[in-house]
Amino acid sequence: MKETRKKLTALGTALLLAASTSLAGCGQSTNSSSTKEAQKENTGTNLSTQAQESSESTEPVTITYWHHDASDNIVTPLKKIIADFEAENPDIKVEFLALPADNFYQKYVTAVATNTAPDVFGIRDTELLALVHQGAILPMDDYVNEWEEKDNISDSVWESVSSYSDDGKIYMIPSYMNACIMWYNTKKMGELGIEIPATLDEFLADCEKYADPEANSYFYSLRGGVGSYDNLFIFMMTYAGADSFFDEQGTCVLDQEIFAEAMDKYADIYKNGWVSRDCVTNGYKEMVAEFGSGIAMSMSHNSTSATNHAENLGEGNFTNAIHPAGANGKTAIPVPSIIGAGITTQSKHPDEAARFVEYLASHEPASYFCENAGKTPVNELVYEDSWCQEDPYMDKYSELMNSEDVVLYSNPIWLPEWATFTGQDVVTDFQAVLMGEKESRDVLAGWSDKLTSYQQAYLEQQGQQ
Amino acid sequence: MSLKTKERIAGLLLVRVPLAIFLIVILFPFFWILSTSLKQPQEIMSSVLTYIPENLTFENYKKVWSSIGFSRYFLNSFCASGVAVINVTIISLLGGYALARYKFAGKGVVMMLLLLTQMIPGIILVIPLFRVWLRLRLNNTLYSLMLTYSTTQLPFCMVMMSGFFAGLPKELEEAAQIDGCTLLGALFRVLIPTIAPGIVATGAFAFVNSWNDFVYALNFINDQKLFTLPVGLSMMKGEFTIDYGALCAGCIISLIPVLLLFAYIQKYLVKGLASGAVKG
Amino acid sequence: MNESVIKRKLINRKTLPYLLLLPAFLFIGCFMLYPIGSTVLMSTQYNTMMDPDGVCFIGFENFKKLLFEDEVFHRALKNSLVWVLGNVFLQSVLGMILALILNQSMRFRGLIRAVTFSPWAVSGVIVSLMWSFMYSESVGVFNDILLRSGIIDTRISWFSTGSRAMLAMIIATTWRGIPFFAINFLSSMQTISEDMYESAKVDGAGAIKRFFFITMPMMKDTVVLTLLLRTIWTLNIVDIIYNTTAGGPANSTLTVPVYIMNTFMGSLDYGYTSAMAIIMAVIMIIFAIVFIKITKYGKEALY
Repeated sequence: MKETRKKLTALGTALLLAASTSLAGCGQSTNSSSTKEAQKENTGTNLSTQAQESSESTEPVTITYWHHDASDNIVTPLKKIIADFEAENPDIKVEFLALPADNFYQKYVTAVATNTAPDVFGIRDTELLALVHQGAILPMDDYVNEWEEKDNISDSVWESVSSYSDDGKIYMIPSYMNACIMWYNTKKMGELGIEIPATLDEFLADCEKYADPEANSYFYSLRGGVGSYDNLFIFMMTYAGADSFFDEQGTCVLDQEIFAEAMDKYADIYKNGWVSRDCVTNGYKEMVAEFGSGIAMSMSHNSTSATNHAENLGEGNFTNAIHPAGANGKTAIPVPSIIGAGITTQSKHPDEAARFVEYLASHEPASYFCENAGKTPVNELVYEDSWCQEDPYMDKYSELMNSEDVVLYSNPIWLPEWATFTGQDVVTDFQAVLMGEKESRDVLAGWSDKLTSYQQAYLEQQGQQ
Repeated sequence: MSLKTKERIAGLLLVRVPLAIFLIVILFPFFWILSTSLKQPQEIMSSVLTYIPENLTFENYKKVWSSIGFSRYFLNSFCASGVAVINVTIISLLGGYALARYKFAGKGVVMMLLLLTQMIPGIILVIPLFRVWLRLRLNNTLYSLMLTYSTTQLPFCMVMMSGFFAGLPKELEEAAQIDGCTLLGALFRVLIPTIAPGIVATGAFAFVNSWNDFVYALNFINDQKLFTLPVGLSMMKGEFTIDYGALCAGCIISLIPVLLLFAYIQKYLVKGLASGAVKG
Repeated sequence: MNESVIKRKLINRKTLPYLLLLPAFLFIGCFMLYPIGSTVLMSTQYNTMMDPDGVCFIGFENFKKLLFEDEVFHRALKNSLVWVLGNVFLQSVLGMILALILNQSMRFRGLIRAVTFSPWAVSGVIVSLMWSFMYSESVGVFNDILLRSGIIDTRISWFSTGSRAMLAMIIATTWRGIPFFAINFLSSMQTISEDMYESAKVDGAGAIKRFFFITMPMMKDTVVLTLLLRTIWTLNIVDIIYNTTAGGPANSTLTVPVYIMNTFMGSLDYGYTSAMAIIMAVIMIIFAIVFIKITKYGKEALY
């Protein structure tokens, strides 16, 4: 019947329309503001230059800021900092988006590729080079030179930041850092009468002595899974007394015999059963779980996990300490990871964005952030604040940066292949060594070849510039 | 042994015992998630596991509901998935019928094209699809998600519907048409009620698949107020912290409406909705 | 008079299927054509986002490298095969058993069905995190149960070898996937009219015979389709593997989509990863064609 068919098509279309329009209420308010935003982004050059040039303009400039961690203890302080910034700068409004820590980079990449990037990115050292290569972020040298707090951040930190990119320019202003440190469960160690090991020999002896698989108790939690490279290289560099991956000619030194010996010693911790069997695939969360549940008495990580440990073990039951020293009495740790914020190339308001980035790294906001989010500051004024003086763990980090017995080596993050190398080669090969499928010597020879070729290519490119 | 006892034992062995095993296996992870959501952090991480929380706490639920804006994420997920499912059901019924009952040129190719859209991993499709939404000015709106989910669930639904239609005997339509219905009338009055259980099941899966999508929801939306539930849940995992308690609480909260919905519609998963379809 | 003639000419047996399929193809054509076409195009390019100006056409270079040189890719293909076979087999068999059980009338059937559906309703994020937590050697609940019940003496480290890790993740994915088969099979069973069973019973057919000669054939199309779809979906699963072992230890649990994810996130090499996706899609299409032919799906078209 014509009737039925007509009725049904009418019904169907009506349903669709009704559904979409009634539910359009869900997207209505933000829809209009986002098309405005889209218009601004796509055709906004005229608008924004007008706004910048005309001093009578009362319309506040809106900048968007994306941060790479959305957990509570990060977002709450950031929101307050942003509110303070807006109060002090009534001509700027900041739209803040916190992204899940595991997947934020995916979103950064999509935004950059589709021309929808925000004005400011929260940037870590690990992604900085990739972002530079994608043409996503602007060099900030000019802004930095005019910044009044520039000298509150030490030269070595600025040098590190400029070393993250391959053209030596500064692409972000740092607000905090992660320094590698050992964590020890002092409560359990106290019960067993163990002292914090000062040398690698003592450390290895402790691992052997206190391994108790029956009771599910070990001295250490070895990270063999994702992110294993720092722990491994710290051990190897300290053991070998080295201070760099490369010699002056840019050849990788890892194929030397001493490193194979070092890797064997480290792998033996697993092979001899001195740590749990899970360690071969342990990533950060498993390692923290082992430490936090008291199964492992120590773990090698960095300054950020303090809040985690406080939650899991309770304040006063753990402490941090500098990694055990090698035969030459020195400990080698990588130059601390530095995290901050930078301006995107797609930003229509780079000046306002720069003001915001500088604000994030300034004394009070940085201090507030570090205190509440549990991060280690880079701004030296913050170290003089009372909370920092009273914090039981902070003094180790300044000791670390200033001690003569600590050698800082640089992870070659200026190499574009470094992320893939540490993410895939190191993890896979080291796991193979742990499981006895490959020999350290062969693995290190392979790594050495690769790193040398990458470094040579980099130096050539540098030479051409 | 009497027949009745034999039947009883068979019933026990073949139905009740396996069912019990299935239920235990299916429910145990939920029990663990629920238990973890009611524990304090130290108890969650302790090496001595407790099955019933010793220090019961509702902190995790409070945290999740208040500070993270869960109710907003709910609504967004519901909008996006709901509209998608409505679209998809209508379109896939029509298309599924065509695939099932008609021999036409390119039928095999059509099937393969439908399946092809399921074969490419989301991460590869995200950037080009984002460009499509950008061109249509739909980026950063729930519409982009509604349309994405409609598109990604369409092949699955159409394929399933065509299977259901194909399983129906031709007599059904022929009988209805003899009674004076047009083809489409027969479709809506007779066939669809007969395969209603299948439609309900497929619709439920399409809804849940859209509800649980993460890749597209993360990449297409730039406004926290428009985030969907999976993105909201993943925000609880920090760079160096995992709040298992809050995560579990979030999981339980996000499960409830889906389960209620399914409990309500599952009554359509029964026989006999087309009573007397063929007999008369 | 004229109207109905026109209508009959426009909407007749020949054109009706195309008209019915039109809305579906509008959707897919508008929204999927560009992304898929884009993927095909990029697979023939040197296209990495870290070198946006260097994009150029390189023909089959990516494919050659993948098929002949990239040993990790070969490993990923093998692992994918194991992954798919293990998962689909377990899920379909267990799903069928569960569907048969749920087909019986019982008290609280509605509630039990809702419970059965629940694993599918859990988001991938939760499944990965919670299952890896439960499998943890030291703080995991599975080891705890096995220890306490005396089944094992020492804790099992589920993720320290490739085969154990694969097994562990297959179990987790099976837990998640059984509802898909169970509910679909169940709904398909509901459309089988009771009469057929009655007449078979009268003819003296036992339960097993009834299953194989009535239930299975009537459900054939649903079974074929659910298997096909689930196979394709299982092959594309990323979240649980990526978040637990990330393909380790030593690439022993690396499946193709996880390799794509790792490579893309590391080097942003769009061309290479697109080529991987295309190879995977081609393999799946061949499989789908063969599968449909073998099972003689849909041989009974009406018009």
